[in-house]
Amino acid sequence: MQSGELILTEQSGLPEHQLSAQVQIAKTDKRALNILLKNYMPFIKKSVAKIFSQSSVKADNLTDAMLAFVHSVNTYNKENGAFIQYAATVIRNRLLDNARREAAQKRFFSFFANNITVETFDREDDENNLRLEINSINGEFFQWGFSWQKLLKNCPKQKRSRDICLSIAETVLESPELLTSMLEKRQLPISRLAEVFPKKTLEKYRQYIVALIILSQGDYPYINAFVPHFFYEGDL
Amino acid sequence: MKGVITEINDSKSIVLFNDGKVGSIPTPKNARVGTMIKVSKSSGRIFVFAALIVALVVAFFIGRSIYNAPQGFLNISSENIEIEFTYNSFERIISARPLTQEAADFLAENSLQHEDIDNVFSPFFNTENNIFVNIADDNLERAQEIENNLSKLPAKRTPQFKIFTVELYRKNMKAERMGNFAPRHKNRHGRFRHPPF
Repeated sequence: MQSGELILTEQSGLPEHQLSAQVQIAKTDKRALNILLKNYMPFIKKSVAKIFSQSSVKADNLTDAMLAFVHSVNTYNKENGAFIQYAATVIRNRLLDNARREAAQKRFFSFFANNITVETFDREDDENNLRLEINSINGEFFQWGFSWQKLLKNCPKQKRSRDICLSIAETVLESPELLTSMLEKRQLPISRLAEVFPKKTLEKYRQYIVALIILSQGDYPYINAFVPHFFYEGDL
Repeated sequence: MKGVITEINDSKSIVLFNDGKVGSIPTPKNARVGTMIKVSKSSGRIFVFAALIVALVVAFFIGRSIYNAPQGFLNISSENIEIEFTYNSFERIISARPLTQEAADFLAENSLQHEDIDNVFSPFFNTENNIFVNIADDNLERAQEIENNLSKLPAKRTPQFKIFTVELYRKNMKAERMGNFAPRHKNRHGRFRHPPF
């Protein structure tokens, strides 16, 4: 058993010295970073809720906040003080900075401007880490027999369908038996899930559901900022 | 909505969006795998704006054609001035055609286009000449209403102010005798004019 696994728990709100130790481990261990991110999701959501009140913008802000949290783990050292205060400051600064830049863009008449903007300011580290994770994910997808191109066709177009797929993925992730069975047999346990969920949905969006599970249970803390299973809209 | 580019294929890129959708977008400039993007909904606004512009232009042309559609003719004759006015459904003058040279000189001094029918007679009332009016409209009720309104106008120093209304049939342009109007005769220009008194 690795030392990282002995220390890390599923609980947040640890004493500061334990948290600092976890942060130091998470700097080099992606799995540890992922667990830290998952444990401190309530803290991240609270940081977003302190600044923004409109539910329509919270999904985008939560993505930024999660990336800022990961960034704070990578840049934290004990001279910065307590990790929680440091992370809260980094998250707050990132969110306010983004809001100011978006407000500045909206000042100009942008009806005819391109509706796709590239986030480049101060994001080189995040993009490098995302690129590394995506390369690793591509390898996992290949082993499962699909790719991003296939996911593009298989992804549900309706939000309602995507929410059902999300529920299915969460059911598998929360059941060690189902998850283990799926990883060993390299296929979704449709017959067992069909007892609870519509079989038609399970068969139609099989690849998309598997992709959600792979992204969520793997060591991809940066990509997890773009996976909706980490947050529910109702919690925001 | 934010996303990250996961694959680039020629001109299109596959993006994982933070609402769980996997979509494709035109590849942004200098984009690579791992580049984060934000997609706004401005493209929808463009179509709404364009549709609004088209609707305004169409409404303008429809309104203009309705305004300029002739509904009836008002022929005013006073001394040597004879003018044929065309009015629209709003009882406003949309064109004026002089039938005599004096009428042309009169119109050069008095621009009566877009004026209300009632205001057309003001320049004529300050003379001592007789004024004869022929109203031709395909809606008899409207023609009679115009006649009633005109009858109430003060005729200052005008010994005789007579109004004749006819119902105009657009197909064959015939006029019927209604009430106390006199038969119409053609003048030297081949136009209908009031009978000599």
